[in-house]
Amino acid sequence: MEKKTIIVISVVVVIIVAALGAVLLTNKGSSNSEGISESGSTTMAEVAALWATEFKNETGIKVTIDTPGSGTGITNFIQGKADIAQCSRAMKQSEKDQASANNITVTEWKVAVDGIAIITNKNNPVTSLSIDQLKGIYNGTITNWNQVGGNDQAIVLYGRDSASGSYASFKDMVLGTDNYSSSMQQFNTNALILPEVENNVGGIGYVGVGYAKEASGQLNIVSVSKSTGGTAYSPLNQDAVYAGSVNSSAGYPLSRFLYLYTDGVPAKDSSQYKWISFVLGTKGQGLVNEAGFYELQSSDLTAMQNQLATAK
Amino acid sequence: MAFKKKKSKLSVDALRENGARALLFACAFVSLITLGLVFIFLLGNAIPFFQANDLWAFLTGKVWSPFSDYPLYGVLPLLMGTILVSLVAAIIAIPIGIGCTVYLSEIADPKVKRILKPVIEVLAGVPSVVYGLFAALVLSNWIFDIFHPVARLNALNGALILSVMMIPILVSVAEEAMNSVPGSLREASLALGATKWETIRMVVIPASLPGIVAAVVLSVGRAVGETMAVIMATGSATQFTISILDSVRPITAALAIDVPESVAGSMQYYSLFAVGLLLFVITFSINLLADFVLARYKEAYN
Repeated sequence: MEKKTIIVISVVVVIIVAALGAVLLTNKGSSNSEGISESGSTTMAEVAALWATEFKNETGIKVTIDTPGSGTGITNFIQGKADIAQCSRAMKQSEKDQASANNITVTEWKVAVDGIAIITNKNNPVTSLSIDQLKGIYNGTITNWNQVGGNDQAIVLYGRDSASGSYASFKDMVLGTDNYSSSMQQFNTNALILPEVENNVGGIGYVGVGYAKEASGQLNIVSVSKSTGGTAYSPLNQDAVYAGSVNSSAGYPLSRFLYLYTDGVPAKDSSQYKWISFVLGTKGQGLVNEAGFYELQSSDLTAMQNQLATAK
Repeated sequence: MAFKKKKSKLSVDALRENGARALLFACAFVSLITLGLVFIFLLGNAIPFFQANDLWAFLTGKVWSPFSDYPLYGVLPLLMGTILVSLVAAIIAIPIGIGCTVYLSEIADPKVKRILKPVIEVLAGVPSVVYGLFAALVLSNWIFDIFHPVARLNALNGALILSVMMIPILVSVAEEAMNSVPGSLREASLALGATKWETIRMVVIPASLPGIVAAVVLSVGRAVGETMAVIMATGSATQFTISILDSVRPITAALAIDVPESVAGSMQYYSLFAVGLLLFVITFSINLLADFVLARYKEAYN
């Protein structure tokens, strides 16, 4: 009798606990029908969060952002798991083909311009580097500053970790198929790289242009040229960044557009329509600046707004 | 049955008694089940990795780059990172911690102890991110000025900050154990003519050794499992190195950094579970070793 009671009661308790756990696990906060889901770039996490917060204040519409990386975001978008993809690179043709196969009309929205800044220590005489030199430095074949016209000083590499979008885009734009040197120290935020480079005379790092601007008094922002002997541009030169984002062989080589992708032009006055028009509006573009990116040039902005105006 | 008052009162008591026992049994059962499920989850996700990759290559590979175009899963740099950081931290923290415990428990003036003990316990409760920040911004500069390493953030930095985090845990647990040694034992020892130091060495420490070992194991577990502070302090480079002044990436840091980036169900994802399983095996072995030591010691002591 006693033992039976114990067993019965304990089984009941276990079942209750298990059921509660299951309910908690599966109940992932059902979003309202008005809500938008957006998935993709880690680089854009900050700016997307700023947008979403402000947008919710203005319209009451909730935009859920998750940032597994551009590639995963695009996959989610193609499979219908996300309404919108946010990307720090343009969609590849193969991805577009997959989307068409799933009856998705891929519609591209440029929403901001990004320039990755290369930073070095204040006391380092090297003020400009070519993409090839950067490649050598970051894949570990160039290990001393005197190989690129600097002092006899060991190079110490700082970068972002694999969970960062900048890690991937810097790799794409600079290293290509090479790997980062395993001696690169990796950080999960831009902000942690700055003091390292400030304190280490051999240090070199890459951060979003906004971070470099804030700390520009304490370190050097290196100008980057497309090829050895070519014109080197600074990421602080807005026009050069704009030129580089449009044309990969001109202007600042480490610049790119940031994109949103939707399925067709959203219908007039739908949640998605409001979202896109907010992002392209004065407030949305202001937040782009706040997050350390460049807002769209007026020509690009006009093109995007014209595309939005075709909404039915 | 229920109409008879006497009986019913009795059965209510019995029910309450049984109910309490059943509830406690269920609690124990739930925690056991949880542990089992976690282990099964780890193992289940690690198996696909070991089916596709050579275990030996995994354990002896010197390159960890799961996200490159040609991924390499050599766990040695991560393992070495964990060993360098935790081992050096333990070497620093255990002697200091035990010394501090003996002082607090046996030597310190009650007034001093009243102040010191709470201070140490507060230190044990400081969030690791605070320690990590201190290591990244302050401690690293001190190390840089003394040793002039190439990397400002290195394994030594991580080891030092971990030892600072270990000591309060070690002291607060070991001190309880030492305190619970009956005063009569000390008095008997002193009455037989032993000095204060002999009493501590031959009576108090042996009597409280299980508690001290538990404290050491707990603090070593903290060192091996600490994530946030080591990410911030060690610089997270994935190189294989045996130099304490190089930047390293311990296992926990690798998991925290790479998991958000891996797509569920990809080989990277499974490889991280394999690494997690390795960490599980390491901490489990430390605990087993401690149990073994205690068992041997109890035989000798009795």
